[in-house]
Amino acid sequence: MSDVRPFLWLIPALPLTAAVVTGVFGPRLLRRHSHWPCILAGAGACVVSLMTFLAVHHGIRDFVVSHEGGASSQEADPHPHQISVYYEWIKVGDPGAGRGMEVGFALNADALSAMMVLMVTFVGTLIAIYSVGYMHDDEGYARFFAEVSLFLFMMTTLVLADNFILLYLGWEGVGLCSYLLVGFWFTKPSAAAAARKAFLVTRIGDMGLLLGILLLWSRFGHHLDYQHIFNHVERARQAGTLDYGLLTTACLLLLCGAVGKSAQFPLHVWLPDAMEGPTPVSALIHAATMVTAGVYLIARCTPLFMLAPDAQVVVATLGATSALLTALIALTQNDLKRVLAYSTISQLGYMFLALGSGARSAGEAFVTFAVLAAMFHLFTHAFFKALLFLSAGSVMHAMGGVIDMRRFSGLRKVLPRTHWTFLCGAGALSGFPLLSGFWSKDEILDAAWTAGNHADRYASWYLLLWLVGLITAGLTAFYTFRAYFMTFWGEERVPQEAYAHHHGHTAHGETPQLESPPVMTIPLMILAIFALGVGGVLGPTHLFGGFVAHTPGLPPPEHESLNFTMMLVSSLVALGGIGLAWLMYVRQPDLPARMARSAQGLYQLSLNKFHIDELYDAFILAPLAGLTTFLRIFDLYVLDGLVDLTGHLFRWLGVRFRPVQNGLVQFYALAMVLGLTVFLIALVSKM
Amino acid sequence: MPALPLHHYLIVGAILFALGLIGFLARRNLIIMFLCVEMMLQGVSINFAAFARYRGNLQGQAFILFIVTVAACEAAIALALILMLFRRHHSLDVSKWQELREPGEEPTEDVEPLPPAPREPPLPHLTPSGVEPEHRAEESHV
Amino acid sequence: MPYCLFSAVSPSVEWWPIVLPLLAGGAAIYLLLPRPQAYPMLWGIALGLPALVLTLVLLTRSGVISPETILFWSFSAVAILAGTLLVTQHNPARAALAFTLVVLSTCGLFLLLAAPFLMAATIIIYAGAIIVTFLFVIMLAAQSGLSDADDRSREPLLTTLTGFILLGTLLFVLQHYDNGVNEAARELDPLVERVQKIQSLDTREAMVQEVGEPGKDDDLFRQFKRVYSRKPQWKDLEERVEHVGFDWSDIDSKDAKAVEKSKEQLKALGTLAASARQRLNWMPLLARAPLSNMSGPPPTVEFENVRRDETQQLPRMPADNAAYLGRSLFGDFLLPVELGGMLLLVATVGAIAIAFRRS
Repeated sequence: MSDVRPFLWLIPALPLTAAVVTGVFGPRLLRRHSHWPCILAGAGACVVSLMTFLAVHHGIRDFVVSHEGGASSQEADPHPHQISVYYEWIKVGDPGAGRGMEVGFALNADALSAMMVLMVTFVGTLIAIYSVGYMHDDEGYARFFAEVSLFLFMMTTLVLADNFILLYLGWEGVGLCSYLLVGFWFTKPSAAAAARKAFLVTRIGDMGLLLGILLLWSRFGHHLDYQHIFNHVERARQAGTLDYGLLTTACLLLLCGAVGKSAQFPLHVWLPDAMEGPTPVSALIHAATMVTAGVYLIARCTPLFMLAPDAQVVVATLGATSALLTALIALTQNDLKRVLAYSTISQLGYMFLALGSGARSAGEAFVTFAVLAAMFHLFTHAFFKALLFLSAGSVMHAMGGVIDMRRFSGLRKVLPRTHWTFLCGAGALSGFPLLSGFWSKDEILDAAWTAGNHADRYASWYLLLWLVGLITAGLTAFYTFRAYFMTFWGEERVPQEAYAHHHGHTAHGETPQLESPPVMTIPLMILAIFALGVGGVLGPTHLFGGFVAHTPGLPPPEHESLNFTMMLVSSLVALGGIGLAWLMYVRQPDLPARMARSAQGLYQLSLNKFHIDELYDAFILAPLAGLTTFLRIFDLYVLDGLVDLTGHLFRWLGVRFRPVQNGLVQFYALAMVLGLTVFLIALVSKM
Repeated sequence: MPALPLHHYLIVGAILFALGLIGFLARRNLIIMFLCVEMMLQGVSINFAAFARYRGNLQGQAFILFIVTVAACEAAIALALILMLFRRHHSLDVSKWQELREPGEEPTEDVEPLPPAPREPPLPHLTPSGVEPEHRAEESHV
Repeated sequence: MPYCLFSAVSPSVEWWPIVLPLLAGGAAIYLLLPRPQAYPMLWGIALGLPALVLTLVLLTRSGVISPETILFWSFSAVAILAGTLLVTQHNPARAALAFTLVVLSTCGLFLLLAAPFLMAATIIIYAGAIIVTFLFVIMLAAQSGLSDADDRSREPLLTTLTGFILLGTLLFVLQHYDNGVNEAARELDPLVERVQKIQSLDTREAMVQEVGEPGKDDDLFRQFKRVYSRKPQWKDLEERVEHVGFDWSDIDSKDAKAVEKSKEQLKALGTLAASARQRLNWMPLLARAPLSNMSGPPPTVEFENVRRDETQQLPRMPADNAAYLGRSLFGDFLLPVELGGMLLLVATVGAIAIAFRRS
């Protein structure tokens, strides 16, 4: 086992360096070469992540072997399969003596974070390479790569953090980068508004997260690093002194942060608007990495959540609600990227469903199983959703910025490579048998089903949630392939904007070459391979589960056999959805319009996203705006009036006293003597 | 025969001090103001000398010598300053220098008119160097 | 003790000797200050002379007529009179002469205070040097006759009020303090007389009878202790009386040696009483003065250890004042003397530089 501890700090440090270098030198010196620091740093971080991953993997293998070999577990390091480094960061008082607080810049790579960081750096690097082609003639080329590098730094910090404060730093950092990148084209009012919305809506959740962290700190032993908190809670549980109500509150507050970051109902409204940003950003931040931070947080805090079944059922319910709601919205959207955005929320809802299903009453091993299902879906989803976004970006790039699916169709000849990669991603997303999404979604449904059958509380509720998940699976297949068929099938139509860059070719009357350059399509193909294969290679072979299950804090897992019945059901549902889409959009293209007319109310409801934005406007924003107006008036005329009054009072006094300064030396001397006399009299009167 | 009590000397010192203070505050001739300051110093010196006597040591007297030294310095500098200020305004009136007042404030002027006739005989004065003194016409009383 | 001005005025301080001369003097100065529409000078004189007389009464109330008192009296009167003249005189040249008079009478007071060298130095420096220079400047400046400013005063009423309130406060403090000394003296004096009376007795029995039985309330030692316990600066004397008293009650024989010894102890008691009287003049001293004996006994030296005049009860000053003052200056105050010399040099240079500047 090679020692990677000395290099662990490189994972966040490389992207940070790239961000600084690109930010400082990019606009003037690097210009068209601004992508190099970002790509090199991403690749370097990816290599170090891979080394870390392998080291953790070796540690786990040695651990397992030593256990099977009957070695005493007591003499072994209790966590040999985690690599951590500690740098002093914040130190207040004397923490050793119990007075004060110590927060380290502590990085910790265990199975969960090693997997996450590898995924983040790998996908991030591919997306950075893709961006070279996508962003090639943008004015903010250097700024884009500086911000992407900064994002990679923050995301790796978030994932590798060993305490809540550092996690919070990364959490807010990725929020900031999301704001910057969504508002990348900040001269566009819609982009600026979307960036502000994304930032503010996630702030609501972040406040909950902060409160949760502070609650954990103040009520659970004044610790901030995960392991100490988990140990404290576990000891309290064994001693019977655990305050379950308080723990549930803390979990719900943490969930609040996760809901905001992962765009779950009811804070999901920012994600579809965030599609205003460049498509690689949507792929990187709003599909593969940042939005999964909420899932990661809850998975990381599994030792807390599994002791709070009430919080868990809230997690699962919120997840299922988001999944179904956004799947319904996605059915009718015409913007390709928005369809994908809603599907992201939907898939994240799946993960929450899985995380919430890990009821401890169904067996401690089952908790791990549910978490593994969520993390596995997160893992595969990162690949195929990034692939789908990048393919959509490729389409958008080729169509000259047009993303409305009603304006183009039949592109499978025009964009052959994009067509194939999109198809791979769509298949994986919709759960086509044996592709990535199939395996992970199947595990989630399995987890929900098991919870419905074995949990001692909320069992029937979990069964209902399972049903919701199954329906959503069908809807997912339908809307994914609806988008696919609308884009790539039917008669060949290309909007005029697509030819804006190709005047030379159209002049010759030939079909112009619209397909994206290799620098974009090669990352697509790599991602496509992963989207197709990663589920099948890692899922049924238990490679993924066997690895991540060794995350400290998770109960030891059992090897579960594959649930073939569930596979069959979900396959049928997925194939049914795909078939229905084919029927409606390829065979009988006029069927959707007729259905929309016959069910006008439902259609409009879905198209207008269930009016959630309008509801928020009416019931939250409008009262707040009224309050703000009142406060503004109060501030202007009452508070400022008081402040002005203070100023005016002293001004008035000053004007009254001005004649005292009349320039006559003897007057000044007289004043001094008067003061002296008063002082003396005061002294004498005390005698 | 008991000696005079200490506080009698202190009372004389206090009276001289207060008189000098009043003169400094009220009189407008710079030279008289400085003389009054010197008188205040005299009052303080009496205090020092009395304390020295009643303690039986010489520290107070040594201090008076320092006071005299500082007074001499003060007089030298003050006279030089008075001369310079006099050259500028041709007056020893301290109220002539009141420019350092609040901007916009009216200058303090003397409103009450003086009685017309000078009541004092002319002062003795020095003839500036290099100027031939006026010769009074010889009067013969023979 | 309540922190209130008027309640602090203890009944022991009589108001009229302070307030009357203050009021009269203040009014006189106010009337005499130069102004365009002057009050008749007689009014001022009529008020000022009684004020001066009252002040002199204040200055001699507790004294005995003696050459020293008379000299002090006349020097003070001249000083105050000349000071008033200085303040009220229109003509600067006359004011300078009045100031000379102030300096001269102050020098007389210096002489009374055993400071002949200072007297000489002050006359030479002030009357000889400073006043002459001032007169030169006056003559140079006043070639065009009296200036308007000499006939005006700045805020005569306010200034006189301020000055006399300040003076009143100072006088009150001094009077209060003097009364305290007198009060303590009134308590101590009968006891000291009693000690002297006992010392003149021959037999021990008679002495014991006069002293009173040890342990009883009218015991002499008890009475001393009671008086000493009244003031904070006498606290340690209380203990020392205890010592004397202990030895006293221990001896119980009639031989001459014992009588002598008792007389010695009585003498010690008398010395303690004198020390107590003198301590009332003393401020509490916190630090040791780092001075040599060249400047006379340092203030931290105990009362008993200071050589003093038998009749006046004042400490003896060195007989050759100038010599000892010189030793003191060049011994204890060498650095200040050097700094003073430096200051004089710098002031001379500065005065020349300023006076020569042409504007």
